Amino acid sequence: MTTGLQPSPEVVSTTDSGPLAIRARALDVGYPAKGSVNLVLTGLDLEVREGEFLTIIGPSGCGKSTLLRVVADLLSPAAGSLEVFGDTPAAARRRRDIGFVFQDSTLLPWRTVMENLRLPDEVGKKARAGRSGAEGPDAAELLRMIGLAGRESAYPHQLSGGQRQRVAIARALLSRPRILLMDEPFGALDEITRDRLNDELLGLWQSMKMTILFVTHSVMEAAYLGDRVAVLASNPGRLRELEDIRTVKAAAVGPIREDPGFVQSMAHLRAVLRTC
Amino acid sequence: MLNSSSPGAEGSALARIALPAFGALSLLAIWQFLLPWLGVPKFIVPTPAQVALRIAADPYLLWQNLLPTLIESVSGFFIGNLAAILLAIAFVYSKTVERAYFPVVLFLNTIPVLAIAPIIILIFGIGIFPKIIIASIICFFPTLVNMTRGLDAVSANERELMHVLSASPLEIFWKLRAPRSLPFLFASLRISSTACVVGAIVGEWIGANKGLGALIIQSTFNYRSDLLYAAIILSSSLAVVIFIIVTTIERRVIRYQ
Repeated sequence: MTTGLQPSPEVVSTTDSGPLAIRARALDVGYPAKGSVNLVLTGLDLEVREGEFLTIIGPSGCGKSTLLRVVADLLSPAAGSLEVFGDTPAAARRRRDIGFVFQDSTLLPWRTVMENLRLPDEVGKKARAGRSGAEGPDAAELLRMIGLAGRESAYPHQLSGGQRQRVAIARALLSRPRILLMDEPFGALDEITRDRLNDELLGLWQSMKMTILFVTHSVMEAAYLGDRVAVLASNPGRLRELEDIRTVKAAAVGPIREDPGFVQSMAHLRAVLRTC
Repeated sequence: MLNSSSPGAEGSALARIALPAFGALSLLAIWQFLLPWLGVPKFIVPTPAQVALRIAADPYLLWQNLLPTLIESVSGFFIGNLAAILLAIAFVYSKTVERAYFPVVLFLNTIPVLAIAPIIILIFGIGIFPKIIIASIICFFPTLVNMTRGLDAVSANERELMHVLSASPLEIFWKLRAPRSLPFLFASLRISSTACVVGAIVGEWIGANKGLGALIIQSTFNYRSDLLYAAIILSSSLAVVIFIIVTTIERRVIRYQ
């Protein structure tokens, strides 16, 4: 047991310093109801450093997706503040700092794989005119990275669910976002495909050095992917616990998913979730 | 050794063409021989051979009457559908406009074309123009309804995707709403492709001295039933040709699914 808790400073330091990607202060978010506001997220304080992989887990209605939607400028805070790189979410969105991957791939069915990938290059030209050109992989290179080279002229309905989600991730990465928001992206996939995509995502994250906020219903996925796991409670949605599991994973011997220290972390997360 | 592609596929290809052809020919044969045997006079119902002979004998007369109907149908098709598409766009972008005008349009649609046609003829006279209007009225409503639905058939995630990409309203229209609406549009274009001919002919019934509709009325009154049947065959052929053109374009435009 004790070996699993051995600190591993060099891993920790990569995301404990560096600029803040996201800072939420006393954040309240709600949807307008009759005459008032229905709060789905209350009093959230959260800081995410650039380069961090934060997974978010919690029961239905705890505001997991809501949080992503505020960062993506799809919803506005009712109270409190949320900054993205010290700026408003809207400014970050216009700079193309934000990429979003939905649970359904949201590929446009009339576009081929390549045409779907290139959508970010075709729209929003006016908004991102002033953006400092971050150099990233082009569409063809992204297609190779997700293992779909040769399928550029396939239509989405000709792909498997896992392949569609890979294309959706590649599309989000095309404009080289500094923050990738993922809303249960693998929730509809079978477990084998999901495990493989988890490893592929970790590979992309390490090679492209971005910040990821990843919402999931799976404790295993949350613990396996995240540097930290944010556990949200519902009614009203609020942050219950922030669990740092980098040290546990850094100390793991053999496959992480079977490491005793990792299994113990998952058990702890499950115990917290039961109280949410 | 088992070659599944040749005998089975060939057999079904043969069946696809030969069986319907046989079905049609058998009915024509029954019509050809049963009617004279029953003693039905030819000025009431002509035999298929008599109709074919009439078409061969009077190609110029038939062409002279086909041409105006063709112009009215196709013009009505374009004008009616274009107007419907434009109004659908207005509806989708302004719920106020939709709430104000959709009930009115819905009410107008419940008036039968046969009742509207005399009004249009009364206002615009006997020329080609009122028939174009009647044909376009018939095309208008299905396209308005389908196109409004099609332009709105955009999922919440698709809208959010476009927002995250900072797409402008014009980009959202051309990259998302318009392509989304195409299958809906073509579903109604297929309906209009045959309905526009009906509209033109109904207009010609009410008041015209040229066109297949006028020919149908004249030959009925003159007991020239072979000419009547020839005109009917031409009008349905016209509708079929427009339908085939529309579906051919549809297959080229919508390559997914």
